Amino acid sequence: MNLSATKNPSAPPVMRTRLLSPEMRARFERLDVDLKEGLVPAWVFGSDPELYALERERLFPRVWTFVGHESEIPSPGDHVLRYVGEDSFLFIRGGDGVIRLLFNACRHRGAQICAVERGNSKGFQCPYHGWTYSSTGELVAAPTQDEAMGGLDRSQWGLIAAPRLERYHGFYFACLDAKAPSLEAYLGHAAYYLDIFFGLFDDLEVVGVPQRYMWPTSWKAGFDGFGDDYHLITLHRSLFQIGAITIPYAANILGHHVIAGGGHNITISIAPSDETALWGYPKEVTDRYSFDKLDPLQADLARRARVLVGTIFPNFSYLIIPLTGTKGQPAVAFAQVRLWQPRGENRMEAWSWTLVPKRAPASFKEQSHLAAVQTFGSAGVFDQDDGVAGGGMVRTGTSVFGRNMKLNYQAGLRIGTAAAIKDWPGPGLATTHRYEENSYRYTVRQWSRFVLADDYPEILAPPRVLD
Amino acid sequence: MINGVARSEDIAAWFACYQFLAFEAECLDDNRVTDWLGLLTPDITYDMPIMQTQRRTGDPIAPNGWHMKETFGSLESRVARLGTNSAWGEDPPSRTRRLIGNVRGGPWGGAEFDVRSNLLLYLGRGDSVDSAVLGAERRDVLRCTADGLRLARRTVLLSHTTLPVQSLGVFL
Repeated sequence: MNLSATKNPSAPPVMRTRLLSPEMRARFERLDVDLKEGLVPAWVFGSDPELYALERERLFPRVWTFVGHESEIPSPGDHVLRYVGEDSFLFIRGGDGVIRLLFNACRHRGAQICAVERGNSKGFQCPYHGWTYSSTGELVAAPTQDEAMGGLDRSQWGLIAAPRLERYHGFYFACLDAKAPSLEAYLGHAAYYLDIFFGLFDDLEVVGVPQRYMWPTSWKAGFDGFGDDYHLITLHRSLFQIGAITIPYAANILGHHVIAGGGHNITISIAPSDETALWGYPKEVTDRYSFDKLDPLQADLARRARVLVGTIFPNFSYLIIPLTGTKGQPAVAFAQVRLWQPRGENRMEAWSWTLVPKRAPASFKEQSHLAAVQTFGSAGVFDQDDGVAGGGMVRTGTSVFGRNMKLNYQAGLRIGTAAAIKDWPGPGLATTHRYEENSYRYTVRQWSRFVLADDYPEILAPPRVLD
Repeated sequence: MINGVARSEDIAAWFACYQFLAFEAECLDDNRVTDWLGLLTPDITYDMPIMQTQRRTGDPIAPNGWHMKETFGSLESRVARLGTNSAWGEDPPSRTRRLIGNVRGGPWGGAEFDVRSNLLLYLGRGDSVDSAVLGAERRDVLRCTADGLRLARRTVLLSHTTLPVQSLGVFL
């Protein structure tokens, strides 16, 4: 980590966000030492304007951000409004059938060319002067083409596409930094574990449209909960009490956290070896899938998976779990993905998509969708409590007195019984059970590399031993 | 009633519906959620579709996208949750004040009334002075039963695309 490289006394004022204040520099200089001890200083989760400026400039343009699933835009001309960091883009399937991510800004004055969240269009006319673009992003016309715009080379003035847009099993991720590694390299070993669901279930489609809801807190409030299993027994105790979650406490601990590198977290709740779980999806759904595309370890993990949850660094979370919104009714499996979108140092917008297997019976798809809506998301009984915890973390991390407080992330390092599994047959470092907190230390370490690096940061390999 | 003279029986029915909605709001504002459950029919459907930004010619109600899609059973479970000692999101509870107006609908005969109302819901939490106001149109079916009017169907059309709250733990 090269802290001094950010010192540039001749930089113009607009570049000053790239400078670290002495206080921020001192904080980061201690961070790796603390992380090795299983300590995370509270300020990491705070909503400091300087820190947010660093994230805005250095983190969000460089990471791969989820922008949409191909099933959201099935037909030529279909488009939805999406964001990378705080920047607005159109996720669109062009008239030529090609999926693109186009910057939502007219090349003439920068006015937004699309205001609707979802639609189907042959093209877009800028409301300011009328420059008109096709669904593939080409500039096709401008009013008074001869008088005002004579000589304009339209081929040079199309909408600007995001530098990188790549696909993982129908999920599209974008990156605004041309120097970034491929999505495949960025996901790294995490993909091996994501594949046990997203690869096996090869016909997932988004049902409906994403929920969007604003948290009056930092985007980092979202990222702690998806990947932590310890909080279920207290924060979500009411859901055990009313029977929304039917996996008992003691069974839920069984399974693994996998530290996959790159700051990505995977947590899998695993049933005993003689049990088939498959997240609770019924046989009529799972019989349609071929396990041939998985290796023996992946196939075994999938077969015994009760829950798969985690976060792809830094703000894309996923959850596959059986739950029910109605006491006494059997739990129904569903899949949900989240984006924790930054909306300023003190605001985070949560986006929540539910996915169902396209070939499943219609009645199952409806039940799965209902279980998701009633338990997880903007009015879900789980999310209601998550806001309480995440909000508190951010307030403490922002407080004058508490921002340098060291938070205890020592489970599985200094305390508790979780340990790294020796000779784990899969990639990454897997732990013996799910009540451990090492994963987040590596997430925070990866985060610091992005925030501090002038050039494209190193994507950290998974640890060989917990360090 | 536009371009006409209201009949007194219509006014009586309209007033009964308005009284019902006001009483329902009182139960919710006072956190008497079990009493509120008693105002619902067992076959109730309670839906809150996701709204999206669209042009004037478009439909802002998203197809098959929901913030809430509830039955009596799921509403009962939500109320049961509020009764536990660990419904942290609503304990301490939100401070709410519901203003209901523009109650309209009809026809005012028969066993069920289609009633629309506008709702402004003030919502404050904790010791913060920050608050949220949620706006919505509600499209209800109120059913006449032996016990009086009961809510048999509600569709909440929010005046929001992105919800201005981090989670909806209250009923609209």
